[in-house]
Order: sequence, then structure tokens, then C-alpha cells
Amino acid sequence: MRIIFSLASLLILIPVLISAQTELNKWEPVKISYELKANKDEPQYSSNGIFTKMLSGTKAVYKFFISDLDGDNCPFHPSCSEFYVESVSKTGLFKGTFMFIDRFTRDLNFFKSREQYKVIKNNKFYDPVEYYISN
Amino acid sequence: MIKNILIIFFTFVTISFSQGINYFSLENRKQFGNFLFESGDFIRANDEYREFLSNQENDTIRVRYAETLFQIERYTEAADYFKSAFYNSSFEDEARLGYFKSLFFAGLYNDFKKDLEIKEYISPVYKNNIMKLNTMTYYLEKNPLPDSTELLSYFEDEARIKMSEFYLRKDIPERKNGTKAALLSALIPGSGKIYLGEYGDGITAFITTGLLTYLAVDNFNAKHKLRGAVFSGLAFLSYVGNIYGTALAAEKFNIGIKVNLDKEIRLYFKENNYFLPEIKY
Amino acid sequence: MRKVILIMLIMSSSIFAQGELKIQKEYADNLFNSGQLFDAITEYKRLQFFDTEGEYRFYSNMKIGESYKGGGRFDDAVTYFANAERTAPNDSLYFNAAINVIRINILRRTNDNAHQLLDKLEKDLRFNDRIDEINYWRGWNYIFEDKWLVASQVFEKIEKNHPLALISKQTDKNKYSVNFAKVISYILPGFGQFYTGNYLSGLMSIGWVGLTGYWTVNSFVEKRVFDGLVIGNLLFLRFYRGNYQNAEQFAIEKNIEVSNKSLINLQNNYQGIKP
Repeated sequence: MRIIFSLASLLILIPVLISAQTELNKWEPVKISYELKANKDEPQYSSNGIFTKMLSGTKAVYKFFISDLDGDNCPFHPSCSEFYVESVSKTGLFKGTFMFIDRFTRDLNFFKSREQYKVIKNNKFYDPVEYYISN
Repeated sequence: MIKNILIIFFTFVTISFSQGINYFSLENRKQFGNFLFESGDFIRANDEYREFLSNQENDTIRVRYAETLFQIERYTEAADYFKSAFYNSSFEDEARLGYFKSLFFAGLYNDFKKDLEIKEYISPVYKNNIMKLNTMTYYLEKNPLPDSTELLSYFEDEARIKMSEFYLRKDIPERKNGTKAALLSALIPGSGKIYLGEYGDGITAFITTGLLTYLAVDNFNAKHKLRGAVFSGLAFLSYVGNIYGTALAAEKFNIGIKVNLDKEIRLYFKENNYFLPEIKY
Repeated sequence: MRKVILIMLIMSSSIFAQGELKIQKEYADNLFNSGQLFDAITEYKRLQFFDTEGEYRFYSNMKIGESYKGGGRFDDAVTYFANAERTAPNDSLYFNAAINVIRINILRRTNDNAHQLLDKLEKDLRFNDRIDEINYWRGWNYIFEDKWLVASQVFEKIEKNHPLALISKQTDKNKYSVNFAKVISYILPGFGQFYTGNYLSGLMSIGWVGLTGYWTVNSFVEKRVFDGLVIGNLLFLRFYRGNYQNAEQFAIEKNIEVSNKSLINLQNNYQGIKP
């Protein structure tokens, strides 16, 4: 009986002993917030060129008058309008526009075949601009 | 008489014990450090060993100290300490392996290769492990791979098969030809995407471009010039956008191949603990 | 004679070892109290290492757990509170350690774990007389799960007018009904938005739904069936759907605001023991 007990306690102890180092720095105390997190993220654009500014302005108007009111229609994240502004801010007006047209066609995809995308929260397909630009 | 002896003895014991139990004495720091080291608390073991080493030299503690630095990911400092145990230490071989392992994890692949040329830096005991690390640096770099015979010669059995598979995939990746795909899309809208395996997107692109073109032609025939012009513009944009999108899709495919292979290689190395042996210092 | 000396020796050594341990404990406590938690853990571990008799084993395990908790390192904290559970010298201290594990689970919102552990304690016959404490933490667990009504009911089991019961009940009352917001917007577009206080959005929804609805009807009236179908499908239905989706979304967002207001209030102003 005793042997069983000591064996059992050994089994409990082992995972504690082999737990890996989790502290890589001397840390400071932190204040832990009780708050629930609202999942809202504001997009940040990579550059601030003139076209980016114009487009993000247009997008804001579109968002205020239409997009905020007509429901959640885009299956992708980032949404098509965000994708447009981001692609222009990264590649310039012409390439950005063509990238957006391509994205819009993929959004339209009549067969809804979207196996190639990673699914993220809210069941959106993750399709950021960076995936299409090699550095 | 007995009383006196007892008193003297008691005082003696008191003094000796009160001096003996200093938890911060060097010896006790070492003991406590070893306890922390073995329980995996390397950051605290590091502190104890540092105090110890600043007062006393000990070859075991020196390599252990280096190992704690390695474990808390201060790789360049770890490399320096391992290097300081290359000579006159009972862990000369382990220190050399530790040194190369630290350089490897610090990502200092150039230094790694430079020091590999120095014959006496290489431990005969762990030569195989060091050379394996060397091979892995090539797999993790962006540069083209050198000849495979030398690279793979240190691996055996299953590892060798896996490593040569990675070698082939890294050397000759199954890339899609972006130009070819774009040309196809220029001939027949959407066909480039079908070539890339994205059938739904390809057919959609074909239908939208076709539909817009039909609407443009139809409106021109019906003498609706403005509408015709608008639809022509849209058809053109759709056509060009699709060609560009096809080239991008190929690009994305190729980036994906590279990224995935890289991930797979890293995971494989990690799962095999970088082919490092378990060392008792 | 020899025996006496030997006994004296052992006694004195153990007495002095004890004295040293006590000093070490106080040193560690000072670090802990002054908020130097990382160093406090080192010293508690040192205490544990030299405390071969295990006199402070439980105490130091608890303190290490609390220190890790203070650093927001919940996994490590759970490890040490669980160690404390194993090394608890009596049932009462065991209970304390177990509650601490539960509090971590509440705080990091692994609420299912917390419920399971609370169930385990509740079933344990040794702790029949501590049901109030178990309920108290169960209530907190429901609060962190954002289930304020259930929380208030659990607190009421302890005491009819338990302050936390009142706060939970009030929070639940302040919440918006997500279903009501959605359903009212099904029937009267824009009204769900009014209900949650988003008047501009509500008005704009009414405008769009009204306008596109008019176009659709107008097309059918003028016998342009194709136009009617297209406008109805692509515009009217789209804005109608957006309308009730928004009402639902606003209610959810407002509810998070309501919950957070109560949570912040509890964190800053509630005087009793907190997770």
C-alpha cells in the first residue's frame, strides 16, 4: 500500500520537476485587469502616402454611410475595403487597384471554394496583403 | 565539573553552528544553485552561480553557469562562458559543444563556420553533433545549399532520409511559374488560376470578365455609348486585374512553399532537440 | 554522559537551524511585502531548500504561488499552490491552498476548471462546514464568466442581501437583451439600435431600408420584375440584414461595457476578498 502511495506521489512530482524554465527575465509585478476584452482592432496602414490618405478617407465615408449598415458580407479578413487601402499603401495606386480587383473576384467566387485560406476568429478567411508581396 | 564541560561544549556548538549555517556562504550558494539548476529554474541558478564564481573557481560550476545563460536565451554570453572552459577543465569537450550550440542558437552562423575551421575548437567526442549543427545552419539560411554529400554524411538512418528530403525540397522547390500563369490568364481570362489549382477563382474570373465584355458589346450595339464605355472600362480592369492577380497567386504559392518548408524544418529540428545529446555536467 | 552531550548537540544544532530559518523566512517576507516578488521567490526557494525538516514547506509553497500570481504568471502560480495542497499539514490549510488554485483559475478565466475544482471541494465531506466559502468563489467564477444572474443567485445562498449578490443583480438588470434588440429590429428596422442608444445608426438603417424597400416595391409596381428582384436581393435584403446584425452587435458591445464597468468597480472598490 505504502509503495503504491509513494509511487503515486512520485508520478505527481515528476511533472513539476521537469517543468521547463518559463522565466527568461527578472519580471516585475503586474496589475491584472478584471475586464473583458472587446475584440475590436483598428487597422494600421504601412505607409501614409497621398493615395493612402485619400483612399482611407473614402473608405471612412463608405464605412460610415454604407458598410457599417449593410451587415457583415465579406468572408475575408481583412475586409475588401481594408485590403484595398493596405495594398495601395504597400504597392502604390495601380498595383494596389489591380490587387483589389483580384481580391474582389476571389470574394465573388461563385463556387465558394476557399480551402487555401487559413480560417481565423469569427470564421473569416485570413488573406492579408503581405501574403502576396515577397520582400 | 560536568556542568562546566557542558557549558563550554554548548557555547562551542553554538558558535560553530551559528557560523556554519550561513545560507549565503559560497558552499551553500553552490548547493542551492545546483538544486535550482536540477529543478529547471535556470534564471535563479544563474544568480547563485555568478556569486559563487566571483569568489571561487570551479570547472563544473563554470559550465553549469554557461548552461544557465544558454537556457535563459542569453546565447552570446553563454558562448563566451563556454569558451572560457575550453582548456584546463574537466568539461572541455562539453564546453566546446556548448559553445557551438550557443552560436547556433544566437543565429551567428558566420562565426559558427569561422570557428569550425579552427581544429582544436572541435571536440572529438561531440564532433558529430557539432557537424550536425553545422548542417542545420545551412538549412536555416536563405543562401543556396552546398553539395549534399558532406552535409548529409553526419546523419544516419531515418534522420538521413528526412534530411535529404528537406535538401531536395529546399534545393529544387516545386515552384509555380508566375509568368506562365499570367500569360495563360492573358490568353483566356481565369485559365492561369486554373493552372495554379484555384478552379473556383479561375472560373469566376472568366465569367465576370466575359459578362462585362458581353454587356459592353451589347450596349454599344444598342447605341448606349456611355454605358458601353463604362462596361468596357470595367471589363478591361477585370481583365488586367485577373492577369495581375494570377501572377500574385503564383507568388503567394511560392512564398507559401518556402515558408511552410522552413516551418517544417524548424519543427523537425526542434522535435529532435537539434540532435543534441543529453549532457550531465 | 555522552548521551546528554549528544542530545545537547542535536538540540542546539536544531535550535539554531530553526533560528536561521526564521531569519530567512523574515527576509523573504520582507521582499514579498515590499513587492520584490521575483527576489522573494528566490528567497522562499532558498528557505525551502535548507528547511530539511519541512517546517516552512507549506508556507513557502503558498508564498511562491502568491508571488507568481502577483507577476501574472498564472501557470507557475498554480504549480506552487498545487505543491502547497500536497504539503498541507492539515485540512484547513489544504482548503486554503485548494481555494488559491481556484482563484487563479477564476482570474485567468479558465472557468470550467474552477467549477470542476469547486465541485470537488463541495463533495469533500471534510469541508461540509465551509460551503459558504465555496459558494463565495463559485459566485466570483460566474462573475468572471459574465453570468451575473447566476452569480447573484449563488451569493444569495450565503446571505440574502450579500453585497455581491446586489451588485451582480444590478449588473444583470443593466444589461441589454441581445435577443430583444435583434427581434425588434426584425419587426421595426432601426428600433433595436434605438434600444441600445445608437440613434444615428438606427436612423440611417431606417433610411436605407426604407429607400431600398421603396425602390423594390416601386419596381414591382411598375412591372419591372427583374429590377425588383435585383434591387430587393442586392440592396434591400442586404441593408435589412445589416440592420438586425447591427442591433445584435450593439447589444453585445454595450453588454461588455456594462460588465466591465461592474468589474472595474469590483476590482477597485469592493472591500472583501477578491480573486
